Amino acid sequence: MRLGLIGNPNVGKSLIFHQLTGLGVEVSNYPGTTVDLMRGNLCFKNERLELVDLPGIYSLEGDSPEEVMVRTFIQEREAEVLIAVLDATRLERNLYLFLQLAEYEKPLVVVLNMMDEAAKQGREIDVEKLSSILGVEVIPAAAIQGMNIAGIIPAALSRARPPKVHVHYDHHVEAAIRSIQSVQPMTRLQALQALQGIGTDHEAIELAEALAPEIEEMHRMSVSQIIAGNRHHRAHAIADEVSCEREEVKHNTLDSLLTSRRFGPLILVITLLSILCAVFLIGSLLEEFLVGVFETIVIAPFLALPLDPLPKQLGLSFLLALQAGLGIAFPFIFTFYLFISLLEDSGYLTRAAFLADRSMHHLGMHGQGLIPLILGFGCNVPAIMGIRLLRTRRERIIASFLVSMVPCSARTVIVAGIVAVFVGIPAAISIYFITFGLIILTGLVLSRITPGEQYGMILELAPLRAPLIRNVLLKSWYRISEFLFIAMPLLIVASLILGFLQYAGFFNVFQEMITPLSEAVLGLPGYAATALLFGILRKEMALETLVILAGTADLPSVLSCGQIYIFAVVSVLFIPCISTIGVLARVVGARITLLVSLYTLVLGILIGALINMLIIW
Amino acid sequence: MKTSAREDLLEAICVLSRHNHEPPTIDELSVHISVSPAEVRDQLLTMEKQGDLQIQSGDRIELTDQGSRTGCSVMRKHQVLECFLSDILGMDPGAASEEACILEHDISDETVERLDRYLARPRGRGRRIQRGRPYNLPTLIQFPEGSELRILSVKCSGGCQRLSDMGIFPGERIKLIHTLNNKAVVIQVKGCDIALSPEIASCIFVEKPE
Repeated sequence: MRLGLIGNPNVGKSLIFHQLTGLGVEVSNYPGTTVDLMRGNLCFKNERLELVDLPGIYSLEGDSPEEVMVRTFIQEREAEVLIAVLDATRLERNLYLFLQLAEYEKPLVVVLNMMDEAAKQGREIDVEKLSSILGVEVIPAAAIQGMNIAGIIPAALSRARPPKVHVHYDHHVEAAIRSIQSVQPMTRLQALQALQGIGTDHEAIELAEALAPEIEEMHRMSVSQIIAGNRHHRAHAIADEVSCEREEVKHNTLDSLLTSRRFGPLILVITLLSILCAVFLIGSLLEEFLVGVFETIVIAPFLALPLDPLPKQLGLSFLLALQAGLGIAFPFIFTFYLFISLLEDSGYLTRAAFLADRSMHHLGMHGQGLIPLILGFGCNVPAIMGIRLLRTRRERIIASFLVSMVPCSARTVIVAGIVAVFVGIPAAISIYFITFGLIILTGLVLSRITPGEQYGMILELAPLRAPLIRNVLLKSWYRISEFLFIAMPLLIVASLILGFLQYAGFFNVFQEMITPLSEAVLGLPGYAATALLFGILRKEMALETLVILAGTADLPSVLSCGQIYIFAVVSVLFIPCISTIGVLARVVGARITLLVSLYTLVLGILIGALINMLIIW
Repeated sequence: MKTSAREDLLEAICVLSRHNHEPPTIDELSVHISVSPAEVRDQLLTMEKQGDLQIQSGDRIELTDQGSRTGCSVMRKHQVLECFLSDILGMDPGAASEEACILEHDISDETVERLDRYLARPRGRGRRIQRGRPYNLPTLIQFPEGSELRILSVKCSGGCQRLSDMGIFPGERIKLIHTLNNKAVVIQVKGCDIALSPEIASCIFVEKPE
C-alpha cells in the first residue's frame, strides 16, 4: 500500500516524512521528469507501507514540473491514500491547495501542522469544525515537537475518505463546465481543467477555448484568475469560520533588518564571505588530517605490497581517487552544506535570493540563481544539481555555464598552493578577479543570446525560525549523498582509466605530441600540459601531477613565475572536472554539457595564451 | 410573466447566439440558465406571443428586432455593471456578476451610458487594460514601503498562474513590506511574505483603498 504526503512548500512535510520513515529513504526521479521524489518504507501492524514525499507545491493546476508531476501522481492513482499537510499559521493559503485537492475526490486525511506556532501567534483553530466542513479527519500536530505524529498512519489507514467540501464557481464558469460536459462525456474536474487548458482531450480544450473569451470579456480577467479567485474566497471563508479572531501578524524586526535596503546587501555579503572563509579554514584542517590518516593506514601499506606493476598502478589509482574524494567531500563539501542547510532552515536563504535579484538579473537569472552559484564555491557537482531548482530552461543553461566556472575548493587548492606561495598573494587574488570578471562577462553575453522565456522571481520568503540541528544534519547528509553516490563512482572510474593509460605509456606519447603546441601557445613545457590533462579528472590533481612530472616541489627552479601563473589560470578556467561533466549531462543534457566543456576549454587556452603573449611582449 | 424573467431570457439568448454565431436551441438555452426545458418552452411561448421571438424548426429560437434590441441592451448593462462593480468597487467577480444580474433590470439607460463613459475615461480602468493599450494605472512599484493596497488587476505573461495561486489576484488586499533600490518588492498577502522581482511587480496594478 502506498501513501502520499502532499502540501505547500515549507509546511513541515519533509520533517513528518522523516519522522514516519526513519533513515531508510530512497531519492529517485519521477519517471519522465527531473523532479525528485523521496520514498521511504514503514511497517504498521505487520503491513509494509510505502510513503512518498511529494514536492511542495502551491497549486495542482500550474505548469511547473513539480505541479505537473504531483497532478499526474494523483490522477494516476499512484497512492491509495493521501495525507494533506496544512500549515496552521497560514491556514487560508494552505486551504486553497486543499480545495483543489478535494476536487480529485481521493481518500485522504489532513494533518494540521505547526499548531504550536499558531498558538504562539495567538491563533486558535477549531479542529472539530474544520473537520466537519472539510468532511475528513483533521489531525492537529506539531511536527517539531513530534506531537500527534504517531496518530497519522493509523488514521490514514482506517479513516481516510474523500473530502466533502466543494467550491461553487462563478455562474459563468459553472455554465461553461456544464456546456463542456454536455458535449464531451467527462467529469466536472476534467471539464474544469479543460477550461484552464489542462488535459489530453483536445476537443474539450478547443471547446473550452471557444467558451473562455466570452467569460473573460464579461469579467475582465482570465478564466484561471476567476477560478483562483473563487477558491481563495472559499478558503478565506473557511479559515475565518474555524479560526478565532486573529491578531495582526507582527513583523519581526530582525526580518526587517535582514531585508532592509541599506543593511540587507551588506549582511548578505558578510555572511557569504564568512561562510566561505570558515569552510576553507575548517576544510583545509580536516583535509590535511584525513588525507594524512588515509596515507599512513591505507596507501603506504598498499605500496609496500609486492604486486605486479599493472595491478599496482590500478590499485593505486583507485585508492588515490578514494582519498581525494573523501578528502574533499567531508572536509569541504559537508562543512559547506552544514552552513548552507543552516541558512536554508533558518529561512535566510530565500531572503538572500531576494536581495541578490537585482545583480543576478544582469547575468540573465533571478534571485534563486544565487544559490547554485554559492554552492559552486564548495564543489561544482552539488551546485549543478541545485540548478534543477531554477524554473526555466534558459536559466538552467546560463547557470550551468556560470556554475562550471566558479572556482570550487579544489581549484582554490591550486591557486593557494602555487600562486600564493611562489608568485605572491596579490597574483593569487588577481586570478580570482580574472575568474569573476569572466563569469560576469559570460553571464552578460549569455543573458542576451540564450533563447527562451524569461520569468521574474516569485518567491515565498520562508518564515525565520531557529533551525533544528538534527534537521540540518539530515539535510546535509542527503545532499552529500548525492556527491558520494554520483560523483564518486565517476571519479574512481576515470582514475582507473587514467592509471591504465599511464601504465600503457600513453602519457609519454601525449607529452611528445603536445610539447610544441604547449610551448608555442601557452609558453608551458609539455609535462605541464600533461598535468593540465590530469586536472580534468580532479582539479587539484593537476598540481600533484605537475610536481611529480617536474621532479621537484620547488617549482620556481624549473618554471618561471609567469609560467606558474599561466598554469594556475588555465587549470582554474579550463574544462570542468569529470564529475561535474557527468552531473551536467544528467541535469541539462549532453548538448549543453558539450558546449560548456568546449567553451571553458577554449576560454582557458585563450586567456592562457593572452597572458603568455603579454609576458613575452 | 415578469419583466425581469423576460429580460433574463432575452439576454441569455443574445449571449448564446453571439457566441455560437447561430440561434440557440431550447435545450442549449435550458442548459445555459439551468432551468428545465419544459419550463423554458412555456416561457418562450408566452414571449413569442408578445412578439419578442419566433421558435423555428429544430427548436431554434430566433429573436425579432424588438427582442434582440432588449436582449442586447440588457447584456450590455450587465457587462458595464459587472465591470464597474468588480474593477472599480473591487467586488469579488462572482458576486459582482450576480449583483449585476439583479441591477441590470432596473438601471436606466442614462445611468448605464454615464457609467460606460466613466469606465472608458483615460484614467478608466477595465476596458483599456483588456485591450492591451498603453495605460497608466499605478503599479506596485510606485508605492512606498508600508502601504496597504488593493489589487486592481494582474497582467503578466507567464507567471500569472503562480501569482493567483499565492493569492495575488484582483480584489485582494496586500501590504507592501519592502522595496529595494531596483524595485524588487516583498509583499504580505494572506499572511505570507512573497518576494517579487521588478518585472513582475510592475504588472500588478494596485490602488490605495479609501
